[in-house]
This record gives sequence, structure tokens and C-alpha cells, in this order.
Amino acid sequence: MGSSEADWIGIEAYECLTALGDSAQSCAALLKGTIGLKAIPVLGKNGGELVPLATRGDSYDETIPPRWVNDLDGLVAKITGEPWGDARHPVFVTSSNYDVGSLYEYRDTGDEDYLRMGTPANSLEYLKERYGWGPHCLALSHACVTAHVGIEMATRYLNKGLAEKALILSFDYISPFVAGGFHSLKILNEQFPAPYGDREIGSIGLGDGAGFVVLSKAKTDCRIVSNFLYNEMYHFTANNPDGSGFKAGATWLKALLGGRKAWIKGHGTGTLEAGRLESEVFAYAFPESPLVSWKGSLGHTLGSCGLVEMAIVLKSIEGGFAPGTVGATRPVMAENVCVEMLDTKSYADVALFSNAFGGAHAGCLIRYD
Amino acid sequence: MIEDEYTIEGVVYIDGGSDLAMDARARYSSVFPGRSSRRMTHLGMLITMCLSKLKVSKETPVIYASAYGESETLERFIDSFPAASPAAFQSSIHPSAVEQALIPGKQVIDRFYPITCGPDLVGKGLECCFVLGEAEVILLGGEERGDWLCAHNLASHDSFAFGLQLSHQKEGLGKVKLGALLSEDEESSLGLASFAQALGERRSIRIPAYGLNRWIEIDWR
Repeated sequence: MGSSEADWIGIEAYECLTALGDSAQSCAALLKGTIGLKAIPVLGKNGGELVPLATRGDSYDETIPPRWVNDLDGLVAKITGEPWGDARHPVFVTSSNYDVGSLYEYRDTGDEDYLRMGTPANSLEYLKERYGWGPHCLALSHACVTAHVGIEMATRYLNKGLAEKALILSFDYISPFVAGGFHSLKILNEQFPAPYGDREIGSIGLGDGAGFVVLSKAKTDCRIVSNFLYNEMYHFTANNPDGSGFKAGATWLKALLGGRKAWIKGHGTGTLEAGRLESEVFAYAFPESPLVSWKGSLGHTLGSCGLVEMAIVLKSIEGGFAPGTVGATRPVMAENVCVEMLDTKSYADVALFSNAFGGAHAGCLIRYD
Repeated sequence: MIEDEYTIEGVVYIDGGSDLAMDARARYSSVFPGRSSRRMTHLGMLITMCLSKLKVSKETPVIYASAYGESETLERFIDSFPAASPAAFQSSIHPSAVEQALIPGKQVIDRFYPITCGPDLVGKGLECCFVLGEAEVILLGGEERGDWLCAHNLASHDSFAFGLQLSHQKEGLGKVKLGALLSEDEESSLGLASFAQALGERRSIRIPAYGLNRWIEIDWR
């Protein structure tokens, strides 16, 4: 398996924005069981089937400037004071959509103002100029594991002494482009997702999300001790039914934990096959480790989900309680699936996993003893 | 600490020209017999041909550089609305081309780093090879020609792909080395297409790597 031993990668700062607010607001709302998803026409102003989407604001149609700009301004304002983008302070941008939804809007309306970004490269140049970042910026795009891939690469720069601090930042705001795509695959439908719920119909929700984490070698209370990457390359949209991708993650985690207890923040979108494989593999390997997913409320924030959910994990550790699997009710797919909130003080380790098309698996282990 | 040089064990460059996917299917029909390429993108075909000439293994990390990815397929997906095409959606998602190449053979790879930044994409790709510091690493890259996106400089005007297999073997086709320190405000002018052509011509080049604060030099035997 592909793992990078992080030794001690300190988490100096973090934040996220979801449909429920920042990390504190999102965590508090999830602890109350709030569902951020709402039934919204899949093509926005152009109508279509009502599907579960968790948006920041009432509309999710494309705007000029894009909806994510103001939110990113607020996030980046929290991390000023470092010369981001210079040779010692690399920036890793880890979205999957970037501004691609605006291309759909251009084609729909013919308004060329929507073409000012559109691609990852143009989006990155916009961010560099807007925030005064230097040239040492790297944009990655590996669908829904992108954030974890960026964290893994940032860890390598820090471990090799090539950086003092690294900023990993991500934003994925849903649009008719992406909702229409997932709807065409029939996994975004009228059903609200119930991650790991043992039911007949699988479904996902999609959500707006942005987040960042600042990493360094500082001795912070929470630290990343290892990252994990693995790519099944078995099928475009399905996992290998033998569970080998999830088993690789479990093997990586078992070797790190020894006898330590951990809780697991899984990927858990609400699809049936992947949910069953993930929950059953982890239940077998770690029967005492509760497994949670928050995509039943926040929706799937795509390439940003690793960072968005990491921020909520860290806020949960600060507050002493982590939300359970919001949106799911019993019966669930495996006994370790945790529907109720859990006491993070009973643990000193939490594993975070994300998955993506192509059978991509990624994750990291955070220690907070 | 990072290693200061790699040996080039393999190199491949394919010029896909201004073909669209339909033309490419005809052009590469001997490589992709029957209907095996019917769901492939042009970039997927090119990357598949590149990888077939390199030694892919589970343990060898793959870095994949593409600024635009599957542009023609992206256009096809957008133009399929309101009845969005699931096939075009699936294959327009970055990094689909590498998945198209590896999924038919069920080739597991542990580490896969698809990068997609702007003008210094070449430097970033090479820099990542050194940052990984593994005994072997593959650097892939390419673009797929777009249509209406080209008119707005939001897609590549040509299709191409390349692959570079690097290792710490003593003998090879050439070297990729860390060179002199960068001076202030050094700017790269070598785009992905020019880099790919230089590899195809085995032309010596140097590219700034901001994260290493060094030039990266490629020289051939």
C-alpha cells in the first residue's frame, strides 16, 4: 500500500465552510442531527428532479463572481501573515471541480463573463493574484480523494525539510454541471442519503464545501502520523467486490495502531455497495472502532471532502464529542456503524478515509493524545 | 534530503495532432482493435499507448500532469444537457485518461498524483518526482484537443501525451538532475506541449522548480 510515515506533522490551523456554517457551527448542528441537505431541482433554475443538495445560500446557480469567492476570502483571512507560495511556504489547492460549473453556465446562457476561470489553471492563477501567493503553488485534481492526496504531498515537502509550513486549501461548490452528472449516474436521486444504512435504494447528496489546513513540524496537540493512498483501478465507478481497496486501508491502519483504540471517519456517501464494503471491512478489522460519516447531512463535498471533514473531526476533538452518522437510522450495514454521537475523549486516534472514482482510496491517521 | 538526479530509463512521446476522438479511433485501430476504444477519450488512448511502453508496477508512483484533461469529452458532456450523458461525465473527470489505461488490466497502483496547475506545470511535475524520491517514478502528461473551449483558450489546441520513466539505475537514456539555484523572479516559459516535444526530440532542456529553488536539467546520452 502507499503510505507516507509523517512522523510528526503538526496541524497548526484549520477551518471549513459547509451548508451548516463553519467548523464549529457544522459540528454543533451535526451533533443535534441537523440535515443540511434540501430537495432542490437538479438543474437549478432549469428545473428537473428534486435531489438532495446542501448549499451555502438559497440558490446554487452559477454567479459572477463565483459563489465560492467570498467564502474563500473569509477562509484565507484566517491564515494571513505567512508568505504563502514562497519557496518555504507551499500552497496545495485540492479541489476537484474548481470552477468547471461556469463552463456549463456559459454554454447555457452564452454569457462570456462565465469564461473568466473555468479551468483549474485559471482558477489557481486567480487565487494567486487575489491572495498575493507566490509561484510555489500546486493544484491537484484526483476527484474525491484530492484533499488527501494534497495533504500527503505536503507531508513529503515538510518531512524532507523543503517547507516550514504548508497550506492545503480546497473548495468545491456544486452546480448543475456536477449535480447533472451524478444524477445521470442515477446515484443522485430523489432519496436522501443514509450512509451505511441497510436499505433497498442507495443514494448520495452533494454539498458545497471549502476548507483549509496548515501543516508544519510544530509539536501541536493534534498531529498527522501517517497518510495512505491506494488505487484499485478495477472499475471506473465501482470498487473491487473483494474489498481489496478497503482491506489495504485496514492493513495500513492496523499496523499503525497496534493495540490503540481509534474511531473512524469513513467516506460513507450513501451508495450501497461501497458502504457495505467499507463498513464490513472496518467492522471485521476494528470491531471496537466506531465508524461515522457526515455526508448524510453535509452532502458529498467532492474533492474537498477530505479537508472539510477533517476540520469537523478536529472541532469534534476540541469539543469532546463527534457527531454520529447523521441521516442513517438502524438497521445499519455493520455493527461498528455509529449512529449516535461518540465521546472523542475515549480515544487518542482517529482515522479519516475518502474514496473516489477509479477505486481510489486515501486517508490519514490523526493522533491527539 | 532529496536525491539530486534520476536516470531516464524510458521515454515516450505521442503527437495526437488535431485529431478528435473519432479520428483517433481510426488512426489507432491497430492498437485498440474492434470496439475496445469506443468509450475511450482521445487522451485516454494516448496515455494508454504511453503506459504500454513503460514499466508500471503497484509500487511505482505515478505523477500525471494535465492542465485541461479530457477537453473534448468535457465539451461533449456539457453539450449533452439537459439529458446529461453518464459516459461523458464519467470519462471527463480528471484523471480519467490514466484510469482508462490501467483499469482494463486491473493494474493497482499505490500512489497516484494527478496535478493540474498553470504555466509551471512541467516544473511542478518534475519537482514532485524529486520530492517523492522513490527508486522509480513515472511522470506522465498530456492534453486532449478541445473544440469550442479552444476559442477561449480554455483547452489545448492539440492532443499529445508523454511518459518518462525515472530510476536510480546507473545506465539509461539520459539524466534528470538538480542544477543551479534559481535567481529571483525566475519564470518558466516551457509549456507542457513544448516539454513533451523536447522529450520526443531528446532535446536538452532546463526548467525552474520553485519548491526546490533549483533548476532541473534534462540531458540525453
